[in-house]
Amino acid sequence: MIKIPVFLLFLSLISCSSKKPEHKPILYPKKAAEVRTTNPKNPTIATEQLAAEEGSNTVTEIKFQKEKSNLTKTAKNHLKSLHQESLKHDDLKRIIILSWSDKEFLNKKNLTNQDYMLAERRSQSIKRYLKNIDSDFKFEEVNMTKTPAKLSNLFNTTNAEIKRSIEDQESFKDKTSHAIIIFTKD
Amino acid sequence: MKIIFIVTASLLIIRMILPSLIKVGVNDYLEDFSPSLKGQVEDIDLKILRGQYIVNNLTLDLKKTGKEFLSVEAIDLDMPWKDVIRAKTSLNILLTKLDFNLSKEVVPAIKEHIASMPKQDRATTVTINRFDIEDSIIRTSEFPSLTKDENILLSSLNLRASNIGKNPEAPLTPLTMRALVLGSGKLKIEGDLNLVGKSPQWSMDGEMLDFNLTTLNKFLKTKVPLTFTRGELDLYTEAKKEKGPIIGYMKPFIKGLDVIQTDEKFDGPKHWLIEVVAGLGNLTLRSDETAATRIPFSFGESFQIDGGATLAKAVSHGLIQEQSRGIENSIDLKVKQAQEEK
Repeated sequence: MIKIPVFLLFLSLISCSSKKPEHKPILYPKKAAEVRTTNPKNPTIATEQLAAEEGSNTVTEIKFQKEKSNLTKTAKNHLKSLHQESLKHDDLKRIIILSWSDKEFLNKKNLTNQDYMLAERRSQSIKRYLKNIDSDFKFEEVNMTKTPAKLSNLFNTTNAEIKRSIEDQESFKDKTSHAIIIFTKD
Repeated sequence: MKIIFIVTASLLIIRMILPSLIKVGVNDYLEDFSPSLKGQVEDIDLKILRGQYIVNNLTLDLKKTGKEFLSVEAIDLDMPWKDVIRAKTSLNILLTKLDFNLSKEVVPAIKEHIASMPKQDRATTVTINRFDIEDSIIRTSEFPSLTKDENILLSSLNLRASNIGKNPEAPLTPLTMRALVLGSGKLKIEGDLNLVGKSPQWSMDGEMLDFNLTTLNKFLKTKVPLTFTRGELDLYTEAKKEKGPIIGYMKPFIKGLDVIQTDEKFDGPKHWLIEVVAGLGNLTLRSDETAATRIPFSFGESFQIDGGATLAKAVSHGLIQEQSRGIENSIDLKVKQAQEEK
């Protein structure tokens, strides 16, 4: 009975004094939407789910600099890799682009026409880049600064479907300045 | 003119009686659909233009005992017309306020039901785009002394699985779950299922924060020789199952623990986590102190965990909180690793 605590105490005495931590602890906000990680991955699980609903596992996220719409080097690399990945599958010629402004979609009240234009320009940058790789791609753009029209809701278009799917998802709150690119079947 | 009137009137009458007819059909089916289970629904709503069908108040009982073990307030089945027109069989399902009562009798009854199903029915024949469970509960009736409010294991349960089916072009089914464990631990689970192939494969990341260990006492007191008088647990874990055994690790962070242990004997692998926690309890942490460790495990034919090394490490790492909070993303399905390495 007493042996174990004594042994543990002995171990603590000989080991605590000299050993330094291997890694500094990374502290995340308590309200993080996803499982905390010391090694974040792209795409996040929420983005993966969104793509899976469109019947695809070929998806990536890219980030834009604030108020900018040109692709960074990292973003171009992500798009290149995604294209390479898409070549492993047949007929992934339909590309869905979701683009955000620098404000979150869930806070719809603050979104202005300028936000709409910024998200639009970002989407166009991605489209141009991918068109240069393959001119056969068909694009479907989802501007994440506008709620879908009533008719779009009634006929459950991709635009309406995607926005309804992510509407209450905390995970999509931090997608400001981001774009999500999904390669799927036509 | 007369014909139009007759057709319109007939359509209206059909529309009015259709839900009742479907309800009778569904209840007849649920009465005899399984050798071990039976069920019934209270009401069915049709929103044909939107392609939405709602089943209200479904209950499932065990045939042997007549005991209800599952109730669902509403099941929304959403079959978008645009997919029907494109001859795509896709479906969105939303279950609201599900209440599942886990007991010793339920698991064999479900197994018996699955075994009775023809093999082709076990495989998903339609693709479920999105499967949601919202605002739900999992409870257990294994502890008769506990009231209906006390026997809840998971509450505020929300789950989403996307792309369920055997789609070789997109084999992964990403899954997320959020819940409250025993009313205190904030649980998040995220992972992927791969249903393509002979046996399902999966990987899982998990996190449970602010779990009050004293809430375990009501379940432990008859099964394990210890009681928590104080303590809070944060837990991070990753695991996967491919061809071999389940492999993974967990990182418990234990704050301000105080344990009364009446015996050193634990019931083998079943109580290994409790044993580790109790081992950490030997530190008698002050209320502001945290002990942490990382425990690799594998679970094949037998459960393997390096208990001795784990405890020693826990003590040596203990009070300085050396472990980083969060998962490492080091365990993933091979099919996904290949994608991410690109």
